[in-house]
Amino acid sequence: MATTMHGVDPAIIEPRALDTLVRFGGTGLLKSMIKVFLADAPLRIAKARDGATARDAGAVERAMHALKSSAGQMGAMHMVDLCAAGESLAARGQRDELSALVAEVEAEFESARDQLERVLADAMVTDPAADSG
Amino acid sequence: MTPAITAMIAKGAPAAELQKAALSYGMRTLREVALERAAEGRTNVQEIERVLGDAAGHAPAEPDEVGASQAKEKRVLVVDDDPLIRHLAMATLARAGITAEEEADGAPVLKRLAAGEKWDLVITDLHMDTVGGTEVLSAIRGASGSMGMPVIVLTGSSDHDSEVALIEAGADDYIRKPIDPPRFTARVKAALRRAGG
Repeated sequence: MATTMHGVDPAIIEPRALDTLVRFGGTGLLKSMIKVFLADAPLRIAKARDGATARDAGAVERAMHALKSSAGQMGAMHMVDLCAAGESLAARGQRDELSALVAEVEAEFESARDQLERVLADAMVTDPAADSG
Repeated sequence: MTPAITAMIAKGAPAAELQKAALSYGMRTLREVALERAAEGRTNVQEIERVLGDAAGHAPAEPDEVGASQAKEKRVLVVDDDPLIRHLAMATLARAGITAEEEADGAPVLKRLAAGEKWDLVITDLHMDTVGGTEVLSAIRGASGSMGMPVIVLTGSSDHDSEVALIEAGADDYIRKPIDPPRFTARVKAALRRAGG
């Protein structure tokens, strides 16, 4: 696995997104952003999963749209692509394919979570005082 | 360069006064111009930071005192159903010395507008679960007490038509997500300045 700035795999997390947060708001902002993302994204994924189970394309579209935005802010670009695909499928009413796509998003989120938790742990060690989140 | 600015320079006016006067004549800071060029793909934020550093009003490690004095007493409302985007927007505004309130949906904003509340700037997401940015914008523009209120719309869409539609619906500006904090700050300050702040 290739790693780069912040020790992340760029195939999962685009490091420039994290760097932008650090340069603007320091490690404190990075840590608080990671915490909010890791707390909120599972709720959105659950909404998408429930929507797919209920064949409610509108609910899946809304959840995917919101997830796409959050994932993009944290540099989870493959997750962004998957959410965009899910949003598009839902908008076209392709209900049969939604559950599989939501499962892909969930798996990609788990990879992103793993990466971001490591970044968080490193930030706690290097800058414990800047914990604003 | 205007004659008034030239005269101020000749009299040795302080830099802060010169900047204030220049901004009042519609001139822009180096950083704002640079950020517009970044938005056009002609440069990037890293290059702007490298060239301008702290010299043009943006100090990454410290709250922006210029922004603080400019934006003091302003009421800004951030409306977004995404807690991550709200968190970043609020943190970014705080670093610029701008105190803001937040709402997680457009519905309470409509109630507050109906009760006569006003803000110096409303920053609203476009797509929200219950009441979206288009309805918030419509409510603001449709009431005599708020029709002049500046509104910036946050959008995750890169669709050209939707941006045109937003501006035609009365948005003063739109900001694409993901949010880039320096650009976000510059656009908010510009909106507040245009509104008389």
